[in-house]
Amino acid sequence: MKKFNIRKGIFLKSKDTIYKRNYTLTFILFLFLLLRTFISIYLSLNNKGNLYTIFYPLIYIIISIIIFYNIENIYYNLIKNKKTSSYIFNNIINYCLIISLLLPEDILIYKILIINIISVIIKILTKNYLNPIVIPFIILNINTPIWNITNTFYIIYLSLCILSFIYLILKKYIKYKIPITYLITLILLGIIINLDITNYLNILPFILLFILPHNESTSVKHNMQIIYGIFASIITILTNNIFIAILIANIVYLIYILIFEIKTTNLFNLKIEY
Amino acid sequence: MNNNVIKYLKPKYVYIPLFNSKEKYQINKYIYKGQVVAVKKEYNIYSPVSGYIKGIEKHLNTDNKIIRYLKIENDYKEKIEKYKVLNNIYYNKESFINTIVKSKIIDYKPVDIKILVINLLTNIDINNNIIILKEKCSKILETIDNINTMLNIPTYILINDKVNNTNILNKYIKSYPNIKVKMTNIKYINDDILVNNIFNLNKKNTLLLNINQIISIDNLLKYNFPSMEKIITIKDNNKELLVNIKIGSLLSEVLDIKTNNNLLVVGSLLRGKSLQSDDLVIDQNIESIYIIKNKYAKENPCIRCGKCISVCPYGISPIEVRNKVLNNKKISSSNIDKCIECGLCSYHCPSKIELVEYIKKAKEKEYEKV
Repeated sequence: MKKFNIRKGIFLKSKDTIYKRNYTLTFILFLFLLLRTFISIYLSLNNKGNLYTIFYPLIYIIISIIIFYNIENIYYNLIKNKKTSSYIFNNIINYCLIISLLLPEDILIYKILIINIISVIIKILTKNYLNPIVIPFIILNINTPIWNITNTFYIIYLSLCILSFIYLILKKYIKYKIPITYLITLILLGIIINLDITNYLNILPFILLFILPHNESTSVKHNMQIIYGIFASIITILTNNIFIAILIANIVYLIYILIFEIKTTNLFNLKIEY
Repeated sequence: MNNNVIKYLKPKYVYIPLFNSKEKYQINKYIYKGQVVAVKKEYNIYSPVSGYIKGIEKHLNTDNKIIRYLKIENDYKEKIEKYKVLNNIYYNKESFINTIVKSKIIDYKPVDIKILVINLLTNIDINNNIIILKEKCSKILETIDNINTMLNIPTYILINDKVNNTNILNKYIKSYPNIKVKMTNIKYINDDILVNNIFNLNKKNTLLLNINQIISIDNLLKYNFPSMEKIITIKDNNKELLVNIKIGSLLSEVLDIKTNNNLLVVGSLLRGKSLQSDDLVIDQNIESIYIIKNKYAKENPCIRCGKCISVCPYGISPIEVRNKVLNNKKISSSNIDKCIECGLCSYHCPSKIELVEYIKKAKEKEYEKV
């Protein structure tokens, strides 16, 4: 008779991991970065830009990674929950890429530092229940279109967004109900109240793809995702600011889960490891 | 995959589980194959071999518990009581159902049966159907046809791509016009869900049989006791074997399993149990045994992707249950009672959280309260 170790749980796991998910998103964001660089080179060659415009997203990404990585590392050391560098990097890289791609090229360097610091602090403090990207953009009142792109490039940019969206849906990596309901509600409301939504066209596809369906700050339930999309859309019309709309929707959802789902009044008492 | 079935049908000893501690057994008493040697509530336990009683020993069962077994020494003669061979019993609908329940071929009593369903679906952890079908297709179809004649109800064989691609059934099925083959893409999770999703019926109104149960019924119709052997899959890390094994055999006598950092899992990889030793007696319920490396993915924080809810066949929110368990909050029992512990939430979770374990904990808490 031979003795064996005993283990609880299941003995077969799918190949879908958070690492794989994050790096898939990183790859897609990298394509956007390439597109951005290509546009900058094109504009530079046509004397509409300069060398700085080519490299600015790269500079922003480096600054962002340094700030995010170090603050997260300090936090994990403080709570004595040491994580590997690859874990931290995988956890932060997409936030860094999104922030860098969203920032306009003429922003002052101190603002970049502030945005990243606020963002990572919010990520840690709210356990990701509030989307860490939107708050610094609201505080510093940055609501500019993503890039100044012309018609031809806009079609490429939009195609890339649509293809990425389809790919993420097929991979089941995105809560697609949120952006779809958001977009439908926005268009319907735009028609009903005769609102010009062309202002949003530049920044909207990127936000619909990478910020609005943020996993941690949105509901896991399908019905709630639809409500979230509709609610965020209405707030967007009311405030005329997508970031504020997302933040309000995040806060409402957070209050909902604290009161109805987990039935606690204190976010910091939640035993959900971070 | 190795298509050959290894036969292990002549064990030196077989072991019969005992449920009644007061029952006494005469040492060296001769036992016929198919003789009832133990009774548990509503079903009989038959001797898989003919031979002599050698005493009582303790061994492991599939629930990881050490229980008492009656040890029978095999005389390798496979002697059957004469009256069982001579007296062929003719069954009607009711007596047939009662007999298969009493013989423990099925573990539920169907009521007002509307259809007969033969489950030949293959899945991530159930894949021996094709090989058994290849080996015994005509015999299996003949038995299904016999059951169909007895019950006189619509009969369906459920298959998915893998079975269909092998074209095994096509060869013989034309001779049996009463048996219909139904192709489905539904992944096999649970009998209830299968019957409900495909036929819109309750499992209780359906006689749902798998391939080993058909073989067992074939024996029952011939000798008035169920088959005492079955084909099980034994997967040792990358090697896969199909073993035709005598029920009551001791696993340690069949296989020499290396212990080095291995886990011995009985049942499916999603719902099975890891056993403490190889001192396991093979019983009717075992379909597969896995020897796998004791490696497991590290749990990461939940990313709230909602995949566990999407894959749950009953629409339960496993992550919500987990959060409530962690925060010591009240969980609605109607919600967790639905859970059949199929393991799909744990399997699909990208953060590798053992969600089923939290649901089990929640259930335990509920039972404690009751």
